Amino acid sequence: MSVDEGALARYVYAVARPFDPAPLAGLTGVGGHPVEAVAHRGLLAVVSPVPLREFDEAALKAKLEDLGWLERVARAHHAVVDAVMPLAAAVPLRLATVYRGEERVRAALDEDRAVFERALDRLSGRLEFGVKIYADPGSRGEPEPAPAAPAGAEPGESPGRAYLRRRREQRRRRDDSWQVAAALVERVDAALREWADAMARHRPQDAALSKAPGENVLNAAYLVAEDDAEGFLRTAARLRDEAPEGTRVEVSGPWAPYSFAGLDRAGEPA
Amino acid sequence: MSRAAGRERPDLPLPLPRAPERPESLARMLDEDHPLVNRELSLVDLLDRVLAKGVVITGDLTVSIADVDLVRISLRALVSSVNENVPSPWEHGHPLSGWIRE
Repeated sequence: MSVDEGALARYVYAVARPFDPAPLAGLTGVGGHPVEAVAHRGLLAVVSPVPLREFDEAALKAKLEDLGWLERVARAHHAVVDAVMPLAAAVPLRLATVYRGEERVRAALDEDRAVFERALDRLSGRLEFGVKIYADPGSRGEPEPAPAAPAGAEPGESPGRAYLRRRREQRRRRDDSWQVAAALVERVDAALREWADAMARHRPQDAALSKAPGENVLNAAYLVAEDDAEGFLRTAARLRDEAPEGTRVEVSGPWAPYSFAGLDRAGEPA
Repeated sequence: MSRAAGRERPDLPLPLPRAPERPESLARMLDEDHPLVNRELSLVDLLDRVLAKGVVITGDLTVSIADVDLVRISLRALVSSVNENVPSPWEHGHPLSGWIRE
């Protein structure tokens, strides 16, 4: 199929069971483009027609380094996925899955039909919640004294010894915090798995990116059946409220089940 | 407390059959302000999901560029530029390294 540079490609957000696409009419997708449905033999792809040059390889290589662009696309992608979730069983696709035209989308639905069918069966009626645990040594008890401060020496103690003592105390406080956080991670995970079908770990987040205080020691996602969501959240809220000093539990969601959508590729005959 | 007490905990999702119709509860949870739900989505949370996860299919334009590592590298570059002058807070390795998957 021949496509010129100005042709419209299709950005795919999600693949769903067939549904009435009328509610998609008012949505705005990536780059401000409208959102459409491509229904094909029992599956429905939620797409935006986008100029090919906005998402070709050169454009993406340049733009992926641009955090502002990445955020706009990620939020637009997520907003569309979120809008589809209440309408039908749907599996979210990874950011920036783009095809050269609607016919190629239909072909992809055929090619990967088994993957989509399995994912839809597995994820239908399920939600994802994010749970993060932080160790925050600075929040325990009195604020940490600055090691370089000349004050704080005990009677008869040289400034050098006082400095070393304070460093030891700081380290001990940190180690205590991390031990408490490690125990909390086990406790939280055990309690939440009682309500969850699956758990997936994300990489702990860097504080420079997340701007969250403390050290992220658990960044997990739980897949929860709708009927269990209330119980899961109640349990999560209790664990959050009971988190020991020097630790913090954060819960986010419900999300579309992003973290569990891609897992069954392994079971697919290559 | 739990319907699932004593159930074997699966590490991978189980293909449990579900009724195809959508219960009211999902729309309620997604649409309304649930007191226990935090719908403030940080960019980092979002990128964890839309870049690293989601169904990966072979797009016409994405095979070579949607490689997660490329994105990770660009994010890491941002992080390291922020962190350049900030020394690691732990000198002897991370005490929870067993929990942290690279």
